[in-house]
Amino acid sequence: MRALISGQAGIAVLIDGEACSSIEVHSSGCVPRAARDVAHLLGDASDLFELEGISKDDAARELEAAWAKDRSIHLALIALDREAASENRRSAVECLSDLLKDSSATDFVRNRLYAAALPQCADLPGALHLAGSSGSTRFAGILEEVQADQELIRLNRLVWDALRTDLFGGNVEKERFGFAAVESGIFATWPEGSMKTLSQILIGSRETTGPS
Amino acid sequence: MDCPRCSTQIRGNERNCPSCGNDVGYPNVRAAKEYEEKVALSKRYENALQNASGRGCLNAITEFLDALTSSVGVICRSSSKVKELVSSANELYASFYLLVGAGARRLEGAKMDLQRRIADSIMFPYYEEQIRFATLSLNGVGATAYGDCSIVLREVAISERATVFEENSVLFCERRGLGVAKPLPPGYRATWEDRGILATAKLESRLVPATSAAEFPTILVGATGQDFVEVHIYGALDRGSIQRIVARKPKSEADRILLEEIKRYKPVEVLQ
Repeated sequence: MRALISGQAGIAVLIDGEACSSIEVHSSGCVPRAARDVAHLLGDASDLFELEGISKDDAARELEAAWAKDRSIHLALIALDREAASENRRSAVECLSDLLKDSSATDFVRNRLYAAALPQCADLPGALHLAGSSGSTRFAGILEEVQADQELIRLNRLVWDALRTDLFGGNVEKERFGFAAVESGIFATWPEGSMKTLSQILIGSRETTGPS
Repeated sequence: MDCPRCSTQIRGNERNCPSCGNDVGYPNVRAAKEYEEKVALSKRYENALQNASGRGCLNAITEFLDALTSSVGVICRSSSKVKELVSSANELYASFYLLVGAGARRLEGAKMDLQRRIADSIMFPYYEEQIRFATLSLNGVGATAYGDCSIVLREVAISERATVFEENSVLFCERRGLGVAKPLPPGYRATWEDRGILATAKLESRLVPATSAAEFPTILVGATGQDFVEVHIYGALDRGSIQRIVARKPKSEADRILLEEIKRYKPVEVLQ
């Protein structure tokens, strides 16, 4: 069986030969679907992924994890947003205490917050205070790391943005590579200077092999 | 058709005259305005009125038609997708979605994609990528099987570029076995202005003399939320196209918080 999963949509579509069905997040039921429904259910989800040879139970577990990741980054950004209502920021932090028990959701949020330096409108001290006062230790831990690495994040991003698109084979390819880099945590785990080294490697390899 | 300014022949998918650049109208709207389409739809509508008269439910039909003048286009999505859409101009979100958006992938190569592509090539030849789909609704609630949040589109954002179609276009093409050798029959699509006529022609038989206005929204969307009148919108939509959100009661605390945030940007009505 094949599964198309989106945490954003909160849906997993199971495809077994000609038969289609779907599972909604937090629900054990499986709803039969026509093939024509699938595009409507998942069509413009930006986090869609596909798993082959998967059971219904495993697909449900993958869906739960994908949903937790998607909602966690939304909630983290709400917690950081100084324009958001204070009550909602607090609720977001409290909800994160639960969602971030899953280490894959924790990594997901950390990796994304390392993708770019926080803009002026972000209220990191305020979010840290909320995380501390509500006992959301995992979120507090992520925020502390992100706070400490803001300059590194800013530099890495500057180097990344300056990389010519032809090094990757085009704009779309660079975007794809960037997405994979964020997903895999390259932006979060590379120490100072590594992004610059990456750019030198890419430029070097390009100069050796020429454009494809 | 020919360009009204320079008489160059215009292809069905062209938005502007290739010779003089004149705006020749949205292709889907032009298609719905074709003489054959309008005549066939008028005939269906007249038949519907005659049937309604014979069944003693002309009053109900008149009220239904009247209600349809204020019908709206609705797109159903998850609270997460709506949040992403409405806060796209927020600097904080823009920073962290910039790279992530590149990961979006399309459904491809599968049977469901093939069916969609066949239907699209029949309905919108060579301009299918320009079409966005919505549902016609009387109360702002759309096909919620596809998402808990119904995004109600502003009339001004779509009225000039939207057309309506009898039902889910993939289902329509499947049921009638449409394809290259069997084109779309006329009379099943209409301009936005004529959406009431199309919906009445389709749904006349479902109204009885005792049908009340409170039942109209369910009759229009269908009891299962699947037998809707499909809205086809040419071109992109953004947060400025949204009038309001009608949401089902959130199933999780996370979604409740997202809905609260969405309220910062657009009015939200939560159904109980």
